[in-house]
Amino acid sequence: MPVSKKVTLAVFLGGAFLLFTLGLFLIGDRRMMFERSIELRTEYRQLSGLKVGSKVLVSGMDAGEVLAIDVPGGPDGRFQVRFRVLEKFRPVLRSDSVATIQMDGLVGNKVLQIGAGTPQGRELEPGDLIASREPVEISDLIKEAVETVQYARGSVADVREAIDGAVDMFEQLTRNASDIVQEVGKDVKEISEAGRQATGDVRDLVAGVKAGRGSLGKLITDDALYERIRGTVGEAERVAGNLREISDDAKAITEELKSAGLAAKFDRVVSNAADAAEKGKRLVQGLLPERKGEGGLSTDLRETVANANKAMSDFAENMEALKRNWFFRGFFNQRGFFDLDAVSVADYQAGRFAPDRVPERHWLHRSELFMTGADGAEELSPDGRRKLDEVAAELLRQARNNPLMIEGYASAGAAHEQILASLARAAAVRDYLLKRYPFQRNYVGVMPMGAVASSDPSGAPWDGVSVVLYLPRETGRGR
Amino acid sequence: MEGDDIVIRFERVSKSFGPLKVLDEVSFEVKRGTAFCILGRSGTGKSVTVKSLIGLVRPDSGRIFVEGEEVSRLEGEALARLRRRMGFLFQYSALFDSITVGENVAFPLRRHTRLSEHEIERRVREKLERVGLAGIEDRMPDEISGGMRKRVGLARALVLNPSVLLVDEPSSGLDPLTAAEIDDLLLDLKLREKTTLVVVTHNIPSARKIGDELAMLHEGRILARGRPEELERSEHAMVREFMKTQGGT
Amino acid sequence: MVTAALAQAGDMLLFAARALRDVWRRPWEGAEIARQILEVGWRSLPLITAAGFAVGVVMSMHTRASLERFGAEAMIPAGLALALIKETGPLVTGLLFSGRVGAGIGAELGAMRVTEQIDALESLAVDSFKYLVVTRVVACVVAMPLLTTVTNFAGIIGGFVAETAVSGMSFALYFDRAFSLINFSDYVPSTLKTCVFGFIIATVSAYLGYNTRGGTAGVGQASTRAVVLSSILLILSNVVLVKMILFFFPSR
Ligand SMILES: Nc1ncnc2c1ncn2[C@@H]1O[C@H](COP(=O)(O)OP(=O)(O)OP(=O)(O)O)[C@@H](O)[C@H]1O
Ligand SMILES: [Mg+2]
Repeated sequence: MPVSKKVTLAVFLGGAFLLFTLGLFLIGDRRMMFERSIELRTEYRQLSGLKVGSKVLVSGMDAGEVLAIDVPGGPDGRFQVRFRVLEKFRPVLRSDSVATIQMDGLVGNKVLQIGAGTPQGRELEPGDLIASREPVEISDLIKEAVETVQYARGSVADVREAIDGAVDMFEQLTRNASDIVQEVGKDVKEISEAGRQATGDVRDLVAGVKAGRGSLGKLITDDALYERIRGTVGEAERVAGNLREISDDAKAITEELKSAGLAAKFDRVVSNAADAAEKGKRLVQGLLPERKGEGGLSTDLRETVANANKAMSDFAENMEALKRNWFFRGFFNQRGFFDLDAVSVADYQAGRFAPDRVPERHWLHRSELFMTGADGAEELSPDGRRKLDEVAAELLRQARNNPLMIEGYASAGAAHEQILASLARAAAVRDYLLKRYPFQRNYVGVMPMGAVASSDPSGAPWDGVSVVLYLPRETGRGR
Repeated sequence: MEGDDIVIRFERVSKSFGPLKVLDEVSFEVKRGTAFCILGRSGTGKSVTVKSLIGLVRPDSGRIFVEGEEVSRLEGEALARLRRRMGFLFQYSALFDSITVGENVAFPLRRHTRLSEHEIERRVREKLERVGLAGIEDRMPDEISGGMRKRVGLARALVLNPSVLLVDEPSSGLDPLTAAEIDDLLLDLKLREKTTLVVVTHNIPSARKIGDELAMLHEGRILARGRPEELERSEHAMVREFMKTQGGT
Repeated sequence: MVTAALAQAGDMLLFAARALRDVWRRPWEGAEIARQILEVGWRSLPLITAAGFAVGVVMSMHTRASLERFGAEAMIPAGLALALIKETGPLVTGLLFSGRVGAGIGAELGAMRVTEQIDALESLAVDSFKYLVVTRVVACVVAMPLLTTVTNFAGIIGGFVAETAVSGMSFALYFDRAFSLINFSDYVPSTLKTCVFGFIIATVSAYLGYNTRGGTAGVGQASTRAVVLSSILLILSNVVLVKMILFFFPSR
């Protein structure tokens, strides 16, 4: 073999092998294998998807990886997480550093985040145990919030009942007292209103999380929001406790009055009630965003929820684009996402839309909904709007993530006129619903049915609109 | 039989390709330092016969001995050892077409000897000169004529100085003068180096010139065998006709 | 028909087994192996580099199109490198290699068979199987992972060129991100599995060439079938290999 060939061979084998080694080096470098590191430990009851090989961040900077996770000996033990941190991070790691499990970006990988300690803490030695904060599951947090708000609402109702009773009893006794108590009743109503709103917000949030999943990673790791929800919940708890006390007092008084008619204690109750009303007012002020003045808790919460909604709708748009992509379409259809615009009338009438779901129908007749407008065309009448509000209230309880189809019916005129008229009706209803209520745009479709015999008892062609919510089989209770 | 003197022995060898019976219990033997010429019409199995002598074709039945070894049973290293003492010229030369003429001739030397590069070059030149092709070492096989290829093939078969040389139509495709030179070369090998020759040929004059014994293959059998003048007097008309031909390919 | 196919499959397996066995037997045929590595490896470089580069460019564009929707452009280098190193690189290299080298081996051995060059080797006391088949098998097994590495890097560089044209990302940042998601267990097994591709391509093509019948037409057929059969076997074997790799190196 001539020398030149030998050189070429050496170049080829050596060069390609070096390239391969370069790959190994680059990977090792990224895994920080060539730098000195120390091994530390932390413990968790709940790992939330943290794995061997997961990244370790120190104050948000790549600093190592999880080496091993030891399963505890019993159900009340904690998982031992052993991990590696680069030597160079040692100055910032202190005995009071806290480890948290967090989400890493869109992909949803979990990472172990180690916070820098305080200068007061001592520097860590290899093998040291770092304190951990159990990961917060957003679902738990929200459940807690909902429970508390419900509890608060229950207390409010109790208070109202008790106080109403008291009011009844003492109405004749003193006009002054009665005024105060009436005021209390009003405020209590407001408190309960605020409670309802908070519940609504929280429910929105939950639904948003369900709909958006991964996109809410940011929300989950957003400590500020977490604290805010915590704070609101705490406040509500406190007020509720307060109110409960008052209601107990009031109940006791009622009891006492029933037995002895002790007017002397009434003053105390009234002043207590006034006090509570004052507190309630303050709470309500905090919760109700309509009030002028400084923001208050509820405004913050609302803002956050609005931001979250915005983030989610951005995400939803992306998902929407993805769903339209031929490649992913099957994937999404299987998971119950619906491309409402892609359903043809013929398919729909043949029952091929969401065959595995149960429709829940609201039949709305033309006369209930529409009036003839100034230009001679049909438009929603004030009565019709009210009717739709009722229907919307009913639907909103179940609408999230379930496709809502608005079927239009029209029986007058030629076939094409029927179709157009039915489309116009359905569209008018949809526009109204989407404008007023938080239905998800991509879950609401219109379907011009024309003149079709309805399943209405009379069997006659329907004239108007049918709002159909397609529910999964378990929860549906079709009509 | 004269024991050691017999270098090649064919014992009742039969070979069929599918339904076609090419050799039907053929027997013959060749003594050391003699030339055995196989004659016969096209497609009668001459090439098959010489190929089976070097183990490229395995007989269905019968035995083949070369230098006392049963070729038809040898495998692996033992077969290779025997082949190193034999030279084979293929009917269509079978030069390695990816290497030069010189490398073709040098190939057996490089594989089986530890000669210096210089010595290899010298021997290649010598063998090529012997077949009348001095100075074409650097050409590629597809750059030379068919007759030249044949002679390069012969040079390659000779380069290890084999004691048994099998040549399949050495002078086909050659002009009469070159053909005569090749005949002289073969004769020289036989007489001076005591090389045992098996020559497949259609060329009766050259067969007369080199051959100590001639055999006529026909329909799977040896129709006639003997010295040229014996075949001329054969009882078979076809053999006599064959022997009258001049030249040929 | 079916039995014939089965018989041929069995024949081919024996052939492969013989190749595996004879690798370890003398003579080593080192010079010939070196020559073959140059032939199948070095001389495939232009093809492999160009193809790898082009694949990288195209993949980068696709990755961008998909990830842009999620605002995850930062993931482009990592996504591309991961896809390339884990699957695309080995497979593209294997298919190109079977096209170039498989066809070459099939045709070369086929031609040598019909022009009696294989017989000539035998007549010169050379083990033609070792000399022609084993050397090529070894060369392909050695060359495949090396060429795959070249494809991977050419692809990553192609991706970089496409990416920097759009976003102006720097080379250092690109490379840093490209290797951020890759583990040794993604890189090493995927690269080494191509040894199996090389083995399959070489044995299948050599088998078809070595056993060529029917003159020039037979040579053409052997060459074509070498490409077809080795490509399909490569793709099928890849399924098994990926399963095995996932079994031994579960993705974490
Ligand atoms: N490998 C093979 N497979 C099938 N048939 C074969 C094979 N080799 C030879 N034959 C057949 O054997 C017969 C004898 O062939 P062979 O090559 O020995 O003829 P030949 O006497 O050398 O003819 P020619 O003078 O034309 O060279 C031919 O009919 C040929 O078709
Ligand atoms: Mg012949």
